[in-house]
Amino acid sequence: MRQEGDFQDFYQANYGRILAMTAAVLGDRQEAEDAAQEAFARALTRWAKLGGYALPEAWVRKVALRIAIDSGRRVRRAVRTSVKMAAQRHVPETEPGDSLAFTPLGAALKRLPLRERQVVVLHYLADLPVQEIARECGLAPGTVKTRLASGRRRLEAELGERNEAITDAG
Amino acid sequence: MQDNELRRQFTEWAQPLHAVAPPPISVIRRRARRRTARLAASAMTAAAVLALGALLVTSVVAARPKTAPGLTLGSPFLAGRLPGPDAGPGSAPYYLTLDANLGEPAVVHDINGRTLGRIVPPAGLMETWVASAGDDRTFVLSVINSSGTTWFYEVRLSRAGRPGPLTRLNVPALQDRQVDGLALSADGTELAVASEANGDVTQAPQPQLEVASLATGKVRIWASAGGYPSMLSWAGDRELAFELDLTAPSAVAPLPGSGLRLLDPTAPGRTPLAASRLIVPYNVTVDGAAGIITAQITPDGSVLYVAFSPVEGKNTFRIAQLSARTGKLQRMVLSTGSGTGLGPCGVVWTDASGSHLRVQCGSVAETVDNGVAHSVSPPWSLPDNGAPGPTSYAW
Repeated sequence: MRQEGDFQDFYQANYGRILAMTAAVLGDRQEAEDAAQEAFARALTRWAKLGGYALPEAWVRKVALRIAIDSGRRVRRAVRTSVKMAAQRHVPETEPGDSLAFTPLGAALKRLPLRERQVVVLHYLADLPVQEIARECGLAPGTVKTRLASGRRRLEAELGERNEAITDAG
Repeated sequence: MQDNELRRQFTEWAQPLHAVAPPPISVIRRRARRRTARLAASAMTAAAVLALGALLVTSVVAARPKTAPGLTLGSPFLAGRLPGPDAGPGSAPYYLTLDANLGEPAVVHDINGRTLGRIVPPAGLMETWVASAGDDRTFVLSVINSSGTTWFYEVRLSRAGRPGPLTRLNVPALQDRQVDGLALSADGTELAVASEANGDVTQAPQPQLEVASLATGKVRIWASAGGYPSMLSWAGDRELAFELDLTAPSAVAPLPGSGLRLLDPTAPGRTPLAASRLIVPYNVTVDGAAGIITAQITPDGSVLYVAFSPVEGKNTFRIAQLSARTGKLQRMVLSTGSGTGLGPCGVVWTDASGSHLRVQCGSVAETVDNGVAHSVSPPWSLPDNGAPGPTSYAW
């Protein structure tokens, strides 16, 4: 089991990767920062236990993605119900990474359905094989493959590229 | 497009984010504190509720609050007189939950999990916390508007659990502050609020604790120089138990003086630290467990229930009963092994003296009657780990 001081090293080493994943899911830098920080905060409260895990980053990644997905749903719900909370949000100055959503890939990702975006991000960004994604998302491997294939088709269409078969990295 | 080409594009796309410097660790610690405080909301608020255990454990729970039921408040601020508690068989057990998935606060039947009613906040307001009084039917909600102003509303439930209208309490609003804890005294006369400035990470958090008398409208504020109060719970309406986390900006661990403290709102002292006395230091070790997860004091002020996380080499969460006067261990209430899953850990309900309890650690839930534990399968959904779920709840 690692001590609390180890958490800081873990946090420093993994923050960027977790942020990239939440940003890919949310397409919004501020929301992504929020989700990533919340995931690390939850990890900190459980560090006595998590620190003993072989791969605590897997736990943080899973939690961060859940938060990101929930955050995306919540934002849409808030828009639907016209709750005027948007004005409360802090509007930050431009930072590195803010323009990610406006790259061709960022824009294409934002148009993917959330469930496809999740497996695509885990596959291409977190480098997880299909079996691992299935375990992490609680899905059947076949479902992961279907969503991956569909997500990739959409990405290709968005990016104007030809279709290729999914290579299962696992 | 080759699979590798797509992967390359992702790598390139993510590169700027991989290189982003993480915010200071103190930001993560603040968030962790807020989360811990929120998860402890049930423990803080449910402490005052004295009727629920009856239907859940056995039919023997007969405890009633020591604070007088039907107390005449004579208050121009609280919306009205508190109804009597519904203790004993035949009561209508329910809890109020703030659930992002439901979209609005809901009253849920504790036994069958059915939604009994929903509370619709005024347009443009979003609820953030809920606390309950000792009658099991009076709740206070904090709500925030788009300008960052927090108000406090009261809602009364009928005996069947149907919510009445929301009534705004005449408690001064908070401006640009985030609520970190909320507790309503058992008799509904005192509202305690822990909060901090709601700015960005570059601003001083200015944590503070305040107690508003709903009977007189007077508010007393204890501004904290360096400690974060949270985990609020009332011993009657006389003393407030809370956790104080004294932390240097760059420190990972709390500083000495941190821990569970007891505050007399009438005593001198202008900060939470100066106005309170330490009961349980933050680093106390109890039967192989350390690190306070949640805490609450019983309404009669005799006992503190504290949930501790595992220490090195162990994988066991513990809930301990400590003397509220001395902080000494009196008995272990619950020990859980691995495999309990993530989730809240603590006492979610107690009667006035702690004779009857409901405790929960992750998926393990028990009721405890005079020291005898019974396993229960909770139908309710409490705040959990990453899974979407309620953010605050109160019985």
